[in-house]
Amino acid sequence: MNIAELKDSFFAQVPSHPPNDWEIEEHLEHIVELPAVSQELILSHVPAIWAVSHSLCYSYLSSARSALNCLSTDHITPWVGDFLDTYEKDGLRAAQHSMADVESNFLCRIRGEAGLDFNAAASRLTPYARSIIERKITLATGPRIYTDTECIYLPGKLTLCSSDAENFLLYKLIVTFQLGILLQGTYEFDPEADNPLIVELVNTYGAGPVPERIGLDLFFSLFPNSRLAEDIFTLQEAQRVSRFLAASFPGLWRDTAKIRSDLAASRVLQSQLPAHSKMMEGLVHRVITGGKGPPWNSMELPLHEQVLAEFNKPAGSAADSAAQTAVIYAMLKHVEETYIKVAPVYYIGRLRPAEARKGMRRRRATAKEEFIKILASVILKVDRKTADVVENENSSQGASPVLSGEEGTAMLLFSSKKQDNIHTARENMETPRFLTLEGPMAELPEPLRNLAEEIVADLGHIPNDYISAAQGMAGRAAPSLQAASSPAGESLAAPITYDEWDFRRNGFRKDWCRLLEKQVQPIKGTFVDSTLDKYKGLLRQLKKQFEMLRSSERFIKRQRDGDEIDLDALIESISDTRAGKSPSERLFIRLQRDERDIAVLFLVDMSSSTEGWINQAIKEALILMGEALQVLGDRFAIYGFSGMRRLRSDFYRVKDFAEPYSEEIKGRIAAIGPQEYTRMGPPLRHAIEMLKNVEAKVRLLVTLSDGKPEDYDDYKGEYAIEDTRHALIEAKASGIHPFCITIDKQAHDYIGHMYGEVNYIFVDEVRKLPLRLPEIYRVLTT
Amino acid sequence: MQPLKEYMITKEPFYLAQGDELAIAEAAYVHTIPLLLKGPTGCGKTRFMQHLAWKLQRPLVTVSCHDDLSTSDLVGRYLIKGGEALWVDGPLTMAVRHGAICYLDEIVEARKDTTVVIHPLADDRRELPIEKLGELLHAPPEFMLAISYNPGYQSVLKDLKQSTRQRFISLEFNYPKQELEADIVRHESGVDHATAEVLVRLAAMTRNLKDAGLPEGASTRLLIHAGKLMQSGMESRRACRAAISETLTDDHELLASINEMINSLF
Repeated sequence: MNIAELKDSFFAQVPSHPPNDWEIEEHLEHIVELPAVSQELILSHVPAIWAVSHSLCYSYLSSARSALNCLSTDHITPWVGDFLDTYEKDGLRAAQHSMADVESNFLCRIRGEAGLDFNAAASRLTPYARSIIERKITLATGPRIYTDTECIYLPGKLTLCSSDAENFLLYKLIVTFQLGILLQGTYEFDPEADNPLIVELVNTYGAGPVPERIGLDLFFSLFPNSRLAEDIFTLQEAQRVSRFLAASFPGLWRDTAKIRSDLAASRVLQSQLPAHSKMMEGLVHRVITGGKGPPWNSMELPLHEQVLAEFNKPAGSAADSAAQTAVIYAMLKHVEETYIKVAPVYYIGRLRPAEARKGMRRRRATAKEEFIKILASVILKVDRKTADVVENENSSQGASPVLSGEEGTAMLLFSSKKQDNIHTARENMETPRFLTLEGPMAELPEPLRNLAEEIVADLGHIPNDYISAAQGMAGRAAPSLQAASSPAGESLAAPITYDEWDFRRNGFRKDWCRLLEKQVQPIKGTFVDSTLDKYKGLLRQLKKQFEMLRSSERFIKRQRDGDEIDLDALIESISDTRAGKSPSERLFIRLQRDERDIAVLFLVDMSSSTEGWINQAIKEALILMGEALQVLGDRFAIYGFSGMRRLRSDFYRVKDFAEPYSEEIKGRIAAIGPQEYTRMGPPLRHAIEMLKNVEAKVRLLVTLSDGKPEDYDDYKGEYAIEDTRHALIEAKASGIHPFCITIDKQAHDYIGHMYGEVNYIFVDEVRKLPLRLPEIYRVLTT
Repeated sequence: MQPLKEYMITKEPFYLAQGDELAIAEAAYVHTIPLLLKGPTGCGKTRFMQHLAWKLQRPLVTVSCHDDLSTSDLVGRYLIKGGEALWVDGPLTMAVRHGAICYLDEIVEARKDTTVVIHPLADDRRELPIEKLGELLHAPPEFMLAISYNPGYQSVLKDLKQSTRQRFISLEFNYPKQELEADIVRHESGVDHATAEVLVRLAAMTRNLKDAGLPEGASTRLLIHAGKLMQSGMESRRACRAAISETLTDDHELLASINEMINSLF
């Protein structure tokens, strides 16, 4: 193909957002000389890449030719998948970098020559790390090995050892060591200015005025040669942590002995090191293997032994290490040459106190934010309950149902009680489970309890401003929530990301969609009553039908054992005996029960296209369904979904599994209303996650929607259908039975493909939906 | 002849108290109030009952509840023998007649309608009507009822009804504190103190994995199993793998993680 044909072909691949002529020409030139087969092969991957990033697509065109030189045609697809993954994880630059050297970045890996990838080890390492430390720690890749107290940064790939098993051990050693630093509290060393050691250092070396608390980096700067001090302290701490690990994790220490001695042996020793650097190198060896390190001549030996004696003294805390640092520093300060920093021990890296401080602050900030948010919602819930009472009292007296001053006192009471609770909790070393208010009791939700524990562990207590901030938040939210009648309620938690299936690349787009769970606010109106009235006759019939489903009990006769004697069988057996025949031994009746153990989640399309009759019918159907399920006793949840673009999928909670089917829930069903678009994938995946956590013999996911899934961006047509189809396949893989009810004027061909032939039903007359839904459910679950 | 002799516990079962649970249980016995034990699996609920029965010198009748357990299984039924119908007492009736301790293990597993039979026994009436015999049994003061359940299975279906639970005095059991647990492991399995401590540390680590998909960590019982394997000469890592990690989960990745913990510790 020449450049013009290539261009046409390219434009045919990317119908939406086509690039400029001249822009694309430049990039297509790279492949113009290739044979047509290769060109087609290259162009066939364009749609998948174009949708992810235009720049990436250009880079792809530029490097595809050189890639084809070393890749067979079979390898192109996995290669594209590989750099797309890189792009999604580390960005454009990394993906371009990976593309540039196909040989070492892709081929070596699939040949298994390139060491152990972090991703391959992460699934084993993460739970391992979390089992050692009680707080939530993440593992991530980074250019340097260190920890900022909430995350441990590790190399993306380990190639130091020859086998995967050894590389994994090295990963494990790094992780355990960094955890050791956290467990041993290296970063918690921040003495006050009047600490004797600090005072002594200031006096000896004459550092300027010091602030109240001395962080690690400040501590180093108290020494004239802060780099030397840093190295001594780091090694001193490394020694302390190593001792701790060797005692606590003897297996690990034994397993990694070879790796550690290899690491020590591979350290390059420059011959012209100044004396103090050489001493440090000696200490490095001491830390890694317990060996002596570089050869010592008779001049150096006494000093070395002196340093080593101090170094080997047992240390119980970072403060001890700091004191030892000062002593060793004093021994070495007379060396006049410039100090050359020694290379850090591989699995320890350098200490990064500034990062650790940031990490700690971040952790505190998130904990605080979370805590305030959850506490606020608890306060709100409690307040609403009291407010309801107040409202009822007021309305019975004929007064207007507004929030009275009583709410204020309730909150005040709440606060003081809460404080008490926390105090006693601290004394008893346990966290409060209950908040007591005037009347209603609210159990502290589990996450709040955990957070409170975490904060207390971190700061020693729960600061007052956390609680007052939560009250402030609840106070602000309360009136606005009371007034809100639209279903677009408050968001319940942080957004969750979900992958999306891209059929063109036969793989997932990682973390492509963001989903927000929201609460539907109930509306009071006549809808519920009029629906119940409208279907009064049907409802009675439904209830009867569902009652019969409840749990079938039947007596089975002629059993070997059972609760009752089967008289018929007994008489027969006696007459048999009299007649000289051998009697039957099956003389009992047993009660056989088939209990229903079903959990169902109704997922309702709240897209704008449902406006009008469809929305009305869905709501009526849900009300009837709710009544019927109430009789049946099956657990059920109702959620709605809509949204716009991949970054805002809204997931509306109407009823979760734990909530009882109350007037409030009916009000929320009434509040279901058309919103925006229909992006099916993320809500389906979220519903699957929820159902996975429900314990039931049969887990059912019923979706109610109209027509095709479609979003404002390129989520439409085949792409949307394939993503929906894939999400439903994921549901089945998790042991959930999906069932889709489509309300449309006519059935389309794609429906069978999208839902899978047996998993859908098509309702063409909207008005029939309220009658059909319970019927469908009954048939599905018997 | 002393009835229910085979249900008597003659040798003192090893039990280290975690708190004041023995005092509470004995007080409950004196006041004829039934006991509710809750706690995760393998933390010593059953052992506590054995110890209590030994201390009170009463026979202990244990029923492991399952979802097919019917009222007749507890109360008793007629059997046919040689053309004659014979009444046979169920374990509950037997315990009531002879003033034993009846312990219904994992009560939530039983069907709700079965659970209701114990209601008249569990309040101050302390009587057991046997419909089929037309008899009303009055429990002697020596009789004690105890039930246990594991609140860890947070399923709506497997929750104890308020009407049932509000008849009991409740004792919460948890995994013992580290030193105590190490003592228990050492005593029960025979391993030395250091090994017992490492086993306890391993258990603590697995109990941290709640968020990673392990709802319940290694119980004290599993540690004892591992210790016993080691005592019979099995290599420690292998013993822990067989007794702990493989028992805890089938999930491939979690299994690998737990094995890494074991490798680090032993």
